[in-house]
Amino acid sequence: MLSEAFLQSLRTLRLNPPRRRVGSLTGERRSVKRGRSVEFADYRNYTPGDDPRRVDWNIYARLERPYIKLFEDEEDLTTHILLDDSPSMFWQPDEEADGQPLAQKWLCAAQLAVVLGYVALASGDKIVLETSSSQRFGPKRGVAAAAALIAFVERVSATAKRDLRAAPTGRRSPLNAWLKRYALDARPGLCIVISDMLDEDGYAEGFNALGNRRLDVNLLHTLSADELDPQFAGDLRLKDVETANLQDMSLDDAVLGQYRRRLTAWSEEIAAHVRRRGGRYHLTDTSLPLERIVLKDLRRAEWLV
Amino acid sequence: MDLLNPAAFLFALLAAPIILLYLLRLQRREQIVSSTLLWRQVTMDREANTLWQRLRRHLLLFLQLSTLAFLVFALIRPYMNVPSEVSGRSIVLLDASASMQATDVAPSRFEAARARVRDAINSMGANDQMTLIVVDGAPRALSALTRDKLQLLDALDAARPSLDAANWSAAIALAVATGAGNEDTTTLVVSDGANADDLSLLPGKARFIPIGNRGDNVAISALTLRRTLRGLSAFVRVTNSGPQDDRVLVSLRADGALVDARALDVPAGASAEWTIGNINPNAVVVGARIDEAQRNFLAVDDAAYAVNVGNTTRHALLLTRGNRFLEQALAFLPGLRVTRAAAMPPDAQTYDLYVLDNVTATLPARANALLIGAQSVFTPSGIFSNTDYVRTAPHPIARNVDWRGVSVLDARRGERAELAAPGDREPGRPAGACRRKRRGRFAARGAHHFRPAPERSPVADRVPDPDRQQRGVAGAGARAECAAQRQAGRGGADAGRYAGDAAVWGGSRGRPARLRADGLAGRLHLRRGPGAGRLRCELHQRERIAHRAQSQPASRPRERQRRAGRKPTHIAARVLAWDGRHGAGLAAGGMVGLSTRTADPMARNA
Repeated sequence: MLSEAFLQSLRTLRLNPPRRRVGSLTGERRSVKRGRSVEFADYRNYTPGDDPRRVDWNIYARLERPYIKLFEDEEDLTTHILLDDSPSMFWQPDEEADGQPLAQKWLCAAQLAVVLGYVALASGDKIVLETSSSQRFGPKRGVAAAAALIAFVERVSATAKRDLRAAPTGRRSPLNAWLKRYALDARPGLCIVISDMLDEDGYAEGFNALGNRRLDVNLLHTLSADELDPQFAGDLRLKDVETANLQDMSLDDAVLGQYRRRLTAWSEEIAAHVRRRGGRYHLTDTSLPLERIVLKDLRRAEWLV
Repeated sequence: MDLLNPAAFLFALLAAPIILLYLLRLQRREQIVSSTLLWRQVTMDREANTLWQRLRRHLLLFLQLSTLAFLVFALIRPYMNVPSEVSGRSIVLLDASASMQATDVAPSRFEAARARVRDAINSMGANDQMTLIVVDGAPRALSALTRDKLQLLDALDAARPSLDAANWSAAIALAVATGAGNEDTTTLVVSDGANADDLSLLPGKARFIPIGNRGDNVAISALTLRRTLRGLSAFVRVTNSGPQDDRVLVSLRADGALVDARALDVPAGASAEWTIGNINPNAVVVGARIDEAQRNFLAVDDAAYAVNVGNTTRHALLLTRGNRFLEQALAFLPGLRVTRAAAMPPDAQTYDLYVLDNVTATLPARANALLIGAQSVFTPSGIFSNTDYVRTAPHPIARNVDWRGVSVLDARRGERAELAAPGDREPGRPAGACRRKRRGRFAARGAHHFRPAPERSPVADRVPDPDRQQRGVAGAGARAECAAQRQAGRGGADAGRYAGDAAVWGGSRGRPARLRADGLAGRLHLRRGPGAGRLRCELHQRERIAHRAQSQPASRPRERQRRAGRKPTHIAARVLAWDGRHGAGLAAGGMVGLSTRTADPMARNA
């Protein structure tokens, strides 16, 4: 799925969460708790029972009052990667286009999930990866789990492809329900949602549930080139790959222009919602090379540092 | 609206198969998409925003159904009863008075009235008849009762506003005469203010179409000159006939040079007066003009001119066999002393004006003369009855006269070509030898003298209004050369050959004869029927001409017949000797008394 050289180039990158969160184990991320790192944080009054070795004697000599010196604590970061594997993620205009067994859109989304998971594992963070079909990987720590992560994603791909061939349309996995269900037992941390957000019921409730669990939601909005700029024309009967709903359209330049305007407004609406919750939003054209998305676009968006 | 063929609505049922065919024809290709979420929103946007977008989806169906609807609409043959302004016989009285030139209705009241009449003409049905009467000082029918719209439109385009007042009495009399005996006649009066009392006399139904909506106007209502010890003094009165006060800038010019200018506050419905002194006493024409006004929709009354006749007494000689009225009228003229005589007195006194009332006399050279009934002086021919096209020679006094308001009862034509002054003769040549040159100069227009209609006598016009004596443009002491343009085709068979010089003269014994003047050779041709040569022309002061014409009846017609191969239709009389005394006076001071009829306050300055 990913070349060894590309994986090596990811070793220097780290995920950049929007804010500090409490971890579970000692790690390399600054925590909101006071601990024993070498980074000075603050002073507080001495209270009986404190370790007298932590009293700052220089302050005591000047003020004749004991103060305890506090330091930053460093803990690990739990990274939740929520990968949408609904049928719309496997959609492509022409079936088996260009001889690809998988749709470019899903392939890009899966690769991005692996890349972000690999970066988290390589930086000592704990990751959990779950798909919208409730297949879960983790929690895992350490770069050794990268191979298992890749194998998990490939297994998800094979399963989804098999299900899609069995039932090309009508298999729906609601986004809101999935996110709310995941938020029930999620630990605070960074949550990366990789999805095309194409769901009839919307996304707001699911994102709100994640935020209420102190998860910083970063949305990686993946849309294919055919969704960003459709190349259809003429009188068509559009069929939804998930809901099998039909929509008659007579497509011309005016209609396509209006679609693009509507798409822009829709993505800006999602981005505004995500940013209002303190998260990040990035719209990705899945037809772009993976290296460019990861090493250029995501770094420029400060997802990776 | 009603229908002539409502059964054709059945053709509307053809819409059903069209719709059915359209539904069967449209087969959409199925395309699986990742989601119809955005596409549905696009559809909702388009359907909610514009009706056209909804129709555009079914453009072909829309066009087909529209075509069917038009066909059905044509087949059911709808008709509508449209009310027309005119129907049947109609008479249109179009006001062409001076006030119709006001611009409160763009571009002018007259153009607005013309547009209304044009609409009425265009709305005429196939069997409708209309006559068009233009109402100014001399109302006349521009078109007879006709169904021809083009003729009516041409007549309407030829109508022009005058500087005269509308003579509604005459116009209504003309309309009554036109529509006499037909109570179905509809009369349209298109005017900015006709007299309602007179309209009740109109036959049949009468409708008044008002034109114009504002009466704002300031005018120079009086301009008089008076000699004072310090020179010439002018009196200017500016009248504001509008409903609001106005401030106007009035300038006074003497012989074109600005003398003074002043801003006058003129209250609504009142006048303001201005007296200007120290004007050059030698100035001839003094003019006053309104240069600026806030509310002034009529421009023709913004200027007035007065002629400085001087304070010296002019002497006039009235030669008459007895005309008490004329003598009294001349006596009313200021600065004119009239001497009455039955014949030219033997003394050699020179008069400023000679008034010849149906008498003949030998006038001094370059004398001013008012000729009344003096056919013989002009080598008179018959009555020149067509006076529709009056043309005047340019003259500074007459430049502002609207000759369309001049009513000429009849006119007679005189040959000015024969009226060479003795001084014009070339040295060493006989008197008759100079005629060729003079004829060349005057051949293009013959001189005519008119006998004005009695009620429009210039003298009668002047008597009641002393102010008008100053403004009159054809005063008794002034010289005015007048000429009338002969209507084309009036010259008979030889009109082309003697273009411009034909005149008609009534023989003294009631026998018709024609007098023709050849502009090239200085000859007079007396033409008549087979009795040529035996005609005895009683020309009072042209005995020699008559005698020659009588004595040489046959020589030249025979020559001409030989050359042209035609029957003799002329007799020719060559004038071998010429007594130029009369002609000298006429050529230098040939004058015809004419006057405008200035009853219209709007055209008072004309």
